Amino acid sequence: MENKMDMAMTEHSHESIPSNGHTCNQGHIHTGVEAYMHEGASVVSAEIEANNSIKEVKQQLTTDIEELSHWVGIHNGIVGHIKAFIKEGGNGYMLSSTGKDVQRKEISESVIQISIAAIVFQVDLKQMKQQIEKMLEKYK
Amino acid sequence: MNLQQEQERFYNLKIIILGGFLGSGKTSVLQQMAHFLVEHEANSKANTKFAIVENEIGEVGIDDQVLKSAGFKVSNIFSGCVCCTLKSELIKSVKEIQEKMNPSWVVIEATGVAYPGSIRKALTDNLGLEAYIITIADASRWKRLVNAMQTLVSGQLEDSMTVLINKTDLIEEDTLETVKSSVVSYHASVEIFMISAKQGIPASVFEKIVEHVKEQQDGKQDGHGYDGA
Repeated sequence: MENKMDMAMTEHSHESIPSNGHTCNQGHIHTGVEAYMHEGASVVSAEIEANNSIKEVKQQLTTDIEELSHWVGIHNGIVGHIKAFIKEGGNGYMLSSTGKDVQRKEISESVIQISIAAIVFQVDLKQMKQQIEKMLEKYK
Repeated sequence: MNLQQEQERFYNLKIIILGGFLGSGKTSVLQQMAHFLVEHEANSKANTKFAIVENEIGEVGIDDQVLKSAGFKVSNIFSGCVCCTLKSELIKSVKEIQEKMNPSWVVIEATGVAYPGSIRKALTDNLGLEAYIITIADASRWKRLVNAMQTLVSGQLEDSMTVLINKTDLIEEDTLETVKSSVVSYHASVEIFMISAKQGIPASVFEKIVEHVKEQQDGKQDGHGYDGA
């Protein structure tokens, strides 16, 4: 109990991955794909614009999230969550996984904006970031 | 509104903290809760306002986009936990919401690695506000999470007033009983509801929660909170 409270009340360590991007006022490195450690979790997130069709993006992202969950599993990691939000005009579409199937949720349906956030445990941060960068290459 | 009325309104603000591990279904519960609270209050009085404070780790928020797409106004606190490094951001957000919106309800969705008890303490210590803690537990992967992250899971449960065991549609009845026993082993007196946010949460669950939040408010006013004097 005491240890838990200590952990909760102590400053987090943010271990950013160095890259060629710029540094924000919080000390994070911005290159499109952001990565840092938080309470033992590898936190990787990105926002990109895709030129593919909305149908292609939905299908490809579903496969990619499944593969990413699988990749975390074979590295003996635990998926906190992997979430993606696809925005096209005023419509949104969410994909999420906690390590098994990818759940899809239509919020209501050019250039499509994709946001992705993955929080996983017991997986190397650098490897996780590289995996997501590789995954996002398909949408550029 | 005079100073006394403003103070009274501030201390009557009903706050719910939604905690629980990543992927447990906090945002899904929040969406249904928001609809219920707005409709429930609309039946009892006019001009009910409902505010959401969304705390996410990571530079990119997903839950806030989901909530905004569903038509909610959301205050975001990113890149850290309001239970520790971003406590001052939380206090600032709640104050701002109170000044600009003057809502009846504020729901704070914590990150999946936050300790809701620490958020509640920050609100009490800094603003003198009480908060009701609801923790969402993911029944479908409870055993795995408890085995891998016992400290976090037990820490999220220990200050909870209500636990919603979610994703009951994904598991068998006997597993559900095991999950319930496990939750009780961490917090014997906590109130537990079995839910499936995917299939829809019954209004009776939210009615009970509203009842408890109001009891908590009444207790605070009778005790050491604002007494209207």
